[in-house]
Amino acid sequence: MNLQKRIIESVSEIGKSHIGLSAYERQLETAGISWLEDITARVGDYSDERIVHDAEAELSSVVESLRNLTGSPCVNILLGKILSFLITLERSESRSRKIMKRLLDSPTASHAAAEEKRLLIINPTTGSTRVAFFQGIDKIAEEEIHLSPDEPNGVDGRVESVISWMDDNEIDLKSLHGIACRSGFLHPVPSGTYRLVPEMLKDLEEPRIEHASNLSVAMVMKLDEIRGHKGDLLLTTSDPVVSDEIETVERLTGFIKIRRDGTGAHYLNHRAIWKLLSRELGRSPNDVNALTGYLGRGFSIARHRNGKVTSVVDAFSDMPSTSRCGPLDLPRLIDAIKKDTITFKELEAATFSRGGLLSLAGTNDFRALEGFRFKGATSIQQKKIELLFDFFARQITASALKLTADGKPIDFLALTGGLARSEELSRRIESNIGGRYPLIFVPGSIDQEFLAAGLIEGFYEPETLKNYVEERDALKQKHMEEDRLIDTVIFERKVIYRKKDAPILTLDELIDDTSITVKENYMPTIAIVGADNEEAILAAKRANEEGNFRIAKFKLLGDFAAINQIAYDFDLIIDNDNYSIIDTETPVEDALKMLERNEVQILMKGYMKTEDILRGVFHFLKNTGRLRSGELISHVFVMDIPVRNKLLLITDAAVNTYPNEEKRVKIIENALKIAFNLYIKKPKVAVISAIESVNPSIESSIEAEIIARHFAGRQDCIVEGPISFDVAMNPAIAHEKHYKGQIQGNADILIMPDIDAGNVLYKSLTTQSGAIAAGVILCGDMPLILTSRGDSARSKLSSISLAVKLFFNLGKEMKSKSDKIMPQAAVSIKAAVLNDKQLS
Amino acid sequence: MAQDSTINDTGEIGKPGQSTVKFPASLQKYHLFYRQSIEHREEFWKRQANRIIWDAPFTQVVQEDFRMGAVSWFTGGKLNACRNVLETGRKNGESKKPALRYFTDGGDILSYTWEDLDREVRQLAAALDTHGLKTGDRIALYLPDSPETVFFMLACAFLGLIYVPIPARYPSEITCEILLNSGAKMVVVSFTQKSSSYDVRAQSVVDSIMETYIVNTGSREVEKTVSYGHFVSPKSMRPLESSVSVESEHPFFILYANSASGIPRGSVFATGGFIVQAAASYDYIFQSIYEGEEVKSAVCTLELASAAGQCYGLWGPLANGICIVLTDGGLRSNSDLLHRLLQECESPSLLTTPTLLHDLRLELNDIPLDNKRRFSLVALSGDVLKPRLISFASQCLVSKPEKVVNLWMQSECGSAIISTYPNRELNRPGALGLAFPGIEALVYNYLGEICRPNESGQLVFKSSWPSMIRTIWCQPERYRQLYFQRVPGCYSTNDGVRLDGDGFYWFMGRIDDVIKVRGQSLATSEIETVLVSHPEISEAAVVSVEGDDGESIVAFLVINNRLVDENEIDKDSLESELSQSIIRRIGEFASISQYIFADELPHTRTGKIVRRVLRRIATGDITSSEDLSHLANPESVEEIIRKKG
Repeated sequence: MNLQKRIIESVSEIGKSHIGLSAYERQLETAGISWLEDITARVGDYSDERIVHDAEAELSSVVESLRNLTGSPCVNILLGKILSFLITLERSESRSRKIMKRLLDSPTASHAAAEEKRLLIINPTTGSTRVAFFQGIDKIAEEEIHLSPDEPNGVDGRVESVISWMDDNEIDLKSLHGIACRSGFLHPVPSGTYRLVPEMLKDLEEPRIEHASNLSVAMVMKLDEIRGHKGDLLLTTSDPVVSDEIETVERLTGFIKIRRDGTGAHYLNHRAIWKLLSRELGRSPNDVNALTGYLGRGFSIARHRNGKVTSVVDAFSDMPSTSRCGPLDLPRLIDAIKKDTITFKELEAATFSRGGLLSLAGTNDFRALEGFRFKGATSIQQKKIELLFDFFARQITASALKLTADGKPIDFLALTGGLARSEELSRRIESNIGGRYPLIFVPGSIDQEFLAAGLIEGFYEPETLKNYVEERDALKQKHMEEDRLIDTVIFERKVIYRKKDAPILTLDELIDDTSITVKENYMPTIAIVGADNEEAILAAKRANEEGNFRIAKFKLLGDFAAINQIAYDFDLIIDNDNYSIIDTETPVEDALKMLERNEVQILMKGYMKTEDILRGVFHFLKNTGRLRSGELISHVFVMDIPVRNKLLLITDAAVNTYPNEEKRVKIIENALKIAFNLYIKKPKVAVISAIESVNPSIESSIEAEIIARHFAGRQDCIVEGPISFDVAMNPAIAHEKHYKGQIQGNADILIMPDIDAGNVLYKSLTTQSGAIAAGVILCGDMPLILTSRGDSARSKLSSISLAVKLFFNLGKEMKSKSDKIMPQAAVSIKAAVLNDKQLS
Repeated sequence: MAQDSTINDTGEIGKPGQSTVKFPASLQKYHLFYRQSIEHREEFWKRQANRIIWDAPFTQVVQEDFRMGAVSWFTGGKLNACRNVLETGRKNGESKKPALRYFTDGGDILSYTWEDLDREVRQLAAALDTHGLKTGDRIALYLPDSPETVFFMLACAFLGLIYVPIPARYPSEITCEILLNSGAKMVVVSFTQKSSSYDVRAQSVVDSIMETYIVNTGSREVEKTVSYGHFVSPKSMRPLESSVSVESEHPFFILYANSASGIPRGSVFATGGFIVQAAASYDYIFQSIYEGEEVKSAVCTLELASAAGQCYGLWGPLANGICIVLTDGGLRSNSDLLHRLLQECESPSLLTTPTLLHDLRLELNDIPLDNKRRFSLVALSGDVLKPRLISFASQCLVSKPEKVVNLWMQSECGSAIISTYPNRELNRPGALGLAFPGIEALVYNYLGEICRPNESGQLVFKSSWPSMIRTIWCQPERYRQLYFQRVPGCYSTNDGVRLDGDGFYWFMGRIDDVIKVRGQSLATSEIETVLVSHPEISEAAVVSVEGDDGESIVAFLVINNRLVDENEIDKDSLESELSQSIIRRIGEFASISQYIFADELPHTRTGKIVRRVLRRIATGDITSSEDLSHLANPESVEEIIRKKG
């Protein structure tokens, strides 16, 4: 009671003070805006230095008072606006002195100003080289040297143009004290300023991404060489694009095989405005938690914590930009790739160069869009342009907010780059952020100044210079340790649950399902008949890899020495439990004896002719009464085809060569057994021919019709024929061809006319479209495994899984249903035969 | 304490040549015994050395530096191996009992008592001595097995001469090379029938050597040779009384490999270490845990000119007072001879090869002998002993399955260092067996770690044993390269094995391949050793490829990146350097037809190089969909295929 009272009391007090506060906030807002308008008018075109100076002082003093208020939205908005304006004023000074003072510690800045060291800044970009010359902390000259297309674009050409620019500006190469450059795709290192070392050149030989900035190190080295390698020049680079210091948790994605790192963001720009604004707020940069966004041709956002960039939204994969698509909706993407509406090449292009605004609007230039909006666009086009600005503003906001997910406070959000000038975007982003943080715009870039600042620090605070090789190797080590953590196995076999008895749709599901079946029963023993065979041993290894997946034990029958040698070569562990060797010259006989004594439960073909093992098995089954009359030995492939959403059974592509109709009816029965075991409730069986209607000149079409009619009365399956492959497999074609049956491109089982057709189909699926096949020979209730050298590891494991699953399920069925199934089948065959006679 | 008593038991060997200690007859006790023997290795071998009469006691049991392969056993000790053996018979008071029997093809049996043996050997020794041969001189014995062969071996040992047994089946060219390499001062041959293939070979040897004294022990007189009867003329020769006492490490005999590759490879064995271990090993495996009728004679169908023949056909049984039985030309799947041996010999053991057992099985068609008698024990050496052969032998040749034992040795080992024993618990069909006490065997994977139980790896030995090879005659560097280079600090074999949970070793496969090029068999490791001895090569594997013009050799090489930059290497000149050193050190026939440089070779997770895949790469028989999931670095295959072009 007491507590409740207290709560109500506190809420009412807070309410009261809020009312008071919001009155002041409204006052602050209106006063602030009028005040800013007033100063803006006063400053005009920045021509009067004194007025500018006074304005700066006025603004700074307000910032001083505002920065300690824990930000209400209203304070944040105002603070953002003031700071944006203040920076604009400070940057209006041509020599960048004020900016340099902000970027440097004050003692360093005064030393540098006094000593007047002569510094060259080089920043190669596509088609041009941006250069600047500083003396002390004053930017004396600056230029973007454009390369004409017919001039050489390599290191030498660019260096030549820099030298001639220096000559024009009367800057003597010999008089320089230091050169700083923006470097390219080195190996990942933490952010900071690095001394240039020859190892960088080596690492740039094969860069991850081709970019003009990759030339900078070589250019600086060349200049040093021309100057005569005196060793008195300080050469540095700051915050390369490959900087990487994100937290371990940021390296994860939702898929173990894909790992992120921190590279690929505009570190130089991020770190420059982070430092600048921190000092603008009168705080030490390392204590400031901030978000910075770069909106140029590429977009990226960085989160700064304790002087490090602990998380990034990088320019390549994390958000859409002028010409990159950013993250896409994967299920839709996969679907589109499967349907071939997007090709891999297209996707690659969208990711790197032709996505984003370019793909949405046909231009990669927001300014063009802004301009076109009121000069020529139709009303619907205007509407779309609005939509696009909304979209990008949302995306930018969302990406920034994403980086706040560590729950720690944010002191400000600053946006820089050419697009920070865009009215349309900034207005929207401002409203999206809604005063959560002070939002500051620093259009364009101050990267030349920041490079110069890094170089100056190198002179006066040499401890800030980092060793590239050490940092690179340490980071590599750190990544290895992180990878080890991420790779740590928690559950050795993926634990995936699916509804019991739901149809098995992929071979992976089949393998999982089999492992559950094995757990519920016991681990069966498979005899490899003729185990002196690499393929069989590799397959066995797959099915019993320690710590991976174990569904069977193996007896390896064959020559002792040969099997041992293969086991040795492939690291198979013979432990007389999971694997044991049975030394024999007559593997088939011995295997059948072991089968009879139940020492093994399933046979697998090794180095042995298929006929030989089948002949043995046939006699064995006959003699033991396990193969009833009317049952046939046949082979079934279960195919997992990437573009299909369920499994496909193909039969008979391996054992029965040119079966007649009666045999093919039995082949269907065998395939149905397997389909039922894959929990396909009512399998759709397509009896394949070249066409969909009976044609006397195509024998297979006549046969198909007869076969299909045998199953006419069956409730547990749908058998249709003749039906052509495309109709059986592709719903669109089935529809187009006006096929009338129940199979509309969604067949579960394909009954092939003969071994040639079956074999060609199976092999074209596996070799040409990445399908994986599991194969099994069904001998009555007994599965027989057969793998071949072309099979992938997955396929071998799938074949064994299929056989093990069939062993348990068919074994049970035989016991429980006993003779129920077969008489039915016999009746239907008889009926079918009658039908045939009537037909003829 | 029980543990100490095991050691004490071992120590209570009273008289030389007599076994008073039973080898532990259960697996549990064996492990205890074995562990003790490793922990107190010197003590164990010191007690084994008590089996032998020492003319001067040794001061140190063993000195070794296994990184360099330097090994010395029973340092400071002096002995005469032959006198040890001869006195065994005399001391046992069995001088009238047979010590050596010889079954001729014609159906005769020649029998020598211990007394006879003593006389024959001393007489021959006197002849050799008279001939001016001095301790350390080499005598080559290019002889089929016969009593005279035994006499020569014993007589050499009597005088401290180093004998060089050359199997009679060796081609004449190789024999001549061996004579040259060993610097033999005398050659002994045996001419009997002009038409026999041995006589033809021996003739060509005789024809091609000069200035070497040739003794002919056979019945057929041949020019340039002196007959045995003439050489050992009883009139002029009185049996030599005193034997020559030699240092323990004095070379005992030199065994040459049957290989045409390069300089002949002669393994040198030391007197003291060999005789001690032969006596101990024979006793432990053949006698001390034997249940049933004791072995009284040792039938050996292995040629005496082999390490196993020397150890278990000659010195081992003689040192234990057991009669040795030789047959004319081995057993040759001759079931009649088998019947005669069983009929005539007193509780015989049979030492033979699995190959011979296999032939015998085909001849007998798995039907047991009608003879009721059985061998007390059948020991097999020389090849993988398949379980189905054991089941044949246990049905047809012995009374119980465990009486078929396997001896694992490479000729460089001198004696079996892994074996099964005639005891139910200490025998497993198909296994190589248990490690011999006092010898530290290990299974290493290729990452230099000890394998877990049943994980297969290479068999290596961490420390020396008395009967092992001491050097390769005149080629100490080759000795170090062949045995001590691959696993630093260990003696490495070329055998891949696994060790099961019970301590049994199982042979899995050879680490290298034996390939046939231009009609000659050659272990790939021989070529690989030459290739990796080049400083710029860090790893090499060779495979042979069937081509239009017979088999050719393809070498896969990994450049030593730490020393040289791959891009800076002139591969053509490197290839020609390698080719020259192969021609120089192995021979023209082993020259390599293609070199493929790779960043790494495909290997399994335990570091084994997968030759099967390399072979398929070499023949181009590899597809992109190939299942390479067993490899630790499947991407290496693609890289090699790319480089191969």
